[in-house]
Amino acid sequence: MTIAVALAPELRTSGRRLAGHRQEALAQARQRLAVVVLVLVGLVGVLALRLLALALLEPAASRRVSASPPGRAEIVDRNGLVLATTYQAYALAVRPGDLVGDREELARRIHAILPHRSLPAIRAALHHQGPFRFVARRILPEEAEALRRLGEPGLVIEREPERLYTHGALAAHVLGFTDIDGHGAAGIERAFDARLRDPARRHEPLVLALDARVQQVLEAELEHQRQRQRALAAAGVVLDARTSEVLALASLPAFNPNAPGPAATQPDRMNRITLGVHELGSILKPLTVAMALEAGTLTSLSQTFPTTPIHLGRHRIRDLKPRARPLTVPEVLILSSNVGSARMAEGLGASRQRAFLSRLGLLAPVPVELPERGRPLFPREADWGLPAVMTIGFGHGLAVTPLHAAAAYAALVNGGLYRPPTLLKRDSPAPAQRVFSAETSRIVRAMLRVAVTEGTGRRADAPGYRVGGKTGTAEKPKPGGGYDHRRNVTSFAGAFPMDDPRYVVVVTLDEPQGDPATGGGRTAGVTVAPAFRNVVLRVAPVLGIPPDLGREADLAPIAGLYEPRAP
Amino acid sequence: MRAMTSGHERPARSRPGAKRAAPAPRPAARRPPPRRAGLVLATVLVALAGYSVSAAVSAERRAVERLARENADLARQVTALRVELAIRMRLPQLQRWNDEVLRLAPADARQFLVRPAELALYALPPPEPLGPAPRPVAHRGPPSPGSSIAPGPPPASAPAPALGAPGDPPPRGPNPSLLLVAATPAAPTLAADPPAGPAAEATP
Repeated sequence: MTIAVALAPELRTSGRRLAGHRQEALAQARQRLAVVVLVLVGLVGVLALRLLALALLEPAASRRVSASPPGRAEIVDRNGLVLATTYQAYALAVRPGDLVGDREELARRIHAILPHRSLPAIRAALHHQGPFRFVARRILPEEAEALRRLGEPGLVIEREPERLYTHGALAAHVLGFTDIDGHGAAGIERAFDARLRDPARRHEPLVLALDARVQQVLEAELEHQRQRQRALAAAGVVLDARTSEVLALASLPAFNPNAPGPAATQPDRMNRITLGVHELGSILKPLTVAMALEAGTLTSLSQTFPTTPIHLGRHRIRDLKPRARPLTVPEVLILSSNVGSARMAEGLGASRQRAFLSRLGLLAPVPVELPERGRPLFPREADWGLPAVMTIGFGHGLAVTPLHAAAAYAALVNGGLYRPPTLLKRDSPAPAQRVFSAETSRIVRAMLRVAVTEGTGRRADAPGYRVGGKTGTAEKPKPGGGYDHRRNVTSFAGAFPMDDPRYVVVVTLDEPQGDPATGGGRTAGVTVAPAFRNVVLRVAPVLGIPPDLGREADLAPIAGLYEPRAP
Repeated sequence: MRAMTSGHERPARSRPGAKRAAPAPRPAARRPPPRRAGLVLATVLVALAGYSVSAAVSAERRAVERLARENADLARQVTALRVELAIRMRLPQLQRWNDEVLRLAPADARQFLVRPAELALYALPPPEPLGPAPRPVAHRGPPSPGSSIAPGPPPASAPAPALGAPGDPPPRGPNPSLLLVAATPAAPTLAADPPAGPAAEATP
C-alpha cells in the first residue's frame, strides 16, 4: 500500500498527458500490485504463525534432539548396579523393490557377514513381496559397517532400542524379559511395563530390593549343590526379616533374558519361588508350634507328646526315627516328630489353624509384584477335618511356594510381624500385621537355633552366625495319587543371626539323587542344608553381619527341655 | 495535493505590495522532505539492527545446538562404555574367574577379630587350641585389612577347611591364650622362632 500511495502524485501530475487507456492500465497495475503485496504479507504471516506454532505448540520432547531419554527405564539393584538397560542396536532390513543386482549373490554375501542368520531366512527376506522386511536384528556394529559397505541401496541399517541384561542370566526370573517390540513379556519387565515406558519417568531407574551380590552367591551355591546332588532343579530366596524385601530370588535352571527363546517359557524353567507350589514338609512344623503357643493350646513347653503312630483311616502318621519316649515341645521340633506336630495341630483345631495360616498369607497367592504367582493348594473349608489338620500340622496337605514360607518365617522370627514380601526397595517398612507375640517369636527362635545345633539341620550351621532353621523333606505326589517315595523335594528354611534375626533364607532342591561323597542320603539335612550354610558364609559378611564365635542366641526359654546330642 | 498543484502557477499581479516570491520549489517527488528521509533512515537502521540481533541470536542458537549434539554424542559414548564395563565385570563372570583361577574361599569366622589384642595371635606360630589358623594370602605376619580372604579350594566344594566336622563345638568366649599373647612382649618370641621364607631372608 505504501508503494501505491507513493506513486499516486506522479500519476496525477502527468494525468493530462496520458491517454485514457493508459490510465486504466495504470489503475489495473496498482490493483495487481496491491494484490501481490497482500499475498506477500499473507505469506509472511503464515510463516510467522508456523514459527509460533513450532516454538510454542510442539511438545518439548520432539524439540530435544540431543538429550532424548531412553525408550525404557533402567532396572537397578538396591545399590544402583544396573541389571537391565537399553541401548541403540543395529538391525538389518531390506526394501526388496530397491534391490539392484543378483539377490542370490547378495544373500550369500550377507550370510558371510551374519553367519548366525540362516541362508534360507536371508533369501526369504530378499525375495519378500512387501515393501519392507527385517533380515536380522541385534547385529554388531562391525557387522553393520560391513553390510553398509556392500553398497546395496535396498539394504537398510536401522537403529532400534534393544534391552540388555548386563549380568546375563543373573536374576532372570525376577527381571523377566521383553518381546521383540520392547514390551515386557515376563517378570518385572512385564509387571512394571507401563512404569518403565512412561515418558515422564523413563529417566529414573526402577530400584529393586535385590542385592546383586547376594543374588550371585545364591545362584552359584544353588547351582553347585544342584550339580553335586544331581537334582532336577534348585531354588532359593533371601528375605530381609524386618522389611520382607527380597534380596535374592533364584530358580534354576534359569534362562538368558538377553536371548530367552522358547526355552524361557518351558515348565522346567518356571519360577519355582513364586509360581511353583509344593508341600514343604517339616519346615512348616515351627509354624504349628508357634500357632499352638500363641493360641494357648500349649500350656507348657515341658508338655510331652507320645510318638506312637496315629491311624487315620487308611493312613498312618508316624515318625521317621521314632523315639521310645514322649517328647517335649522343643524336642518335637528338634527331632522333627510328625506325630508330635500332628498332636499339637489337633489341639489347635481346624478353625484356628486356618485363621493363622490365612494371616500368614499361606492361603492366597503370594502378594509379590511378579505376574508369575502360584495359587496355594489346600483343602476346602468343608474338607478341613481332623486328617487335614493333622497332616497340615507337619507340613503336608498344604502346597505353597517357597516365598510363602520365607515370608511366614520372617514373621516367625522377627517378633511376630507379618509383612508381604516385595521386590521393590523400601525406604520404610510396610505396615505390618501382628500374627505372633514377641514372646512366642523368642521361644521359637530358640527352638530353631537348637534344631540346627542339635537336630536335623546340623550341616546348615555356619560358625559364628548363630543360624537357626528347620529342614523339610517332602515326597512328590504320584500322577495317579499317593506319594512317590523315591522322589523328594528337600528344603531348608532358616534365619540368621538368631539373637537378632536379620535375614531369612529358604533353599530347596527338586529330586536330589544324593551325593556319594556324603553317603548318598536324600533327606534335606544332607542335600540342601550345606547349600544354606555356604550361602550364609558368603552372604553374611557382604551384608555387614560379622561372625562372632563368642556369642550365642538366647536359648533360655527352652533350657533343660531337650537332650543334647551325644558327642 | 492542492499545494503541490499551485506551485506551477504564476504569482498574482493584483498584489503589488507583495514581495517577490521565492523561486518555485522543485517537484516533491525529486526533493523529498527531510522528515521522510529520516524515516527511511530510521527504518533501515532498525531493520539492520534487528537483522544483526537476529543473526547473532541465530548464531548463538546454532552454537548451543552443536554443543547439545556433542553432549548427546558424549552421553551415548559414556552409556556405551558403562554398559561395556558392566558386561565385562558381570557377576557370573567374576564367579567363574574365582572358581577356575583365583579359587578364593569365603572368610572364616576365625579371621574376624573382635578386639585388637587378638591381632597378636598372628605374630605367633599357630596355637594348638585353635587348630589350623588361616594364613594370610601372600605373606606371613599380621594380616592386612584386605586379607580376610584366604586362598583355598572353591567355596562350594570346601568353603573353610577349619570349619570341619559338624560335631566340633565352636569355642565360646575369648580364648585365654589370646590375653596371654597380648600381654607378652612380642620381640623375644619372634626372635626365638624366626619365620622362614623370602621375607625372613631379606630381613637383616
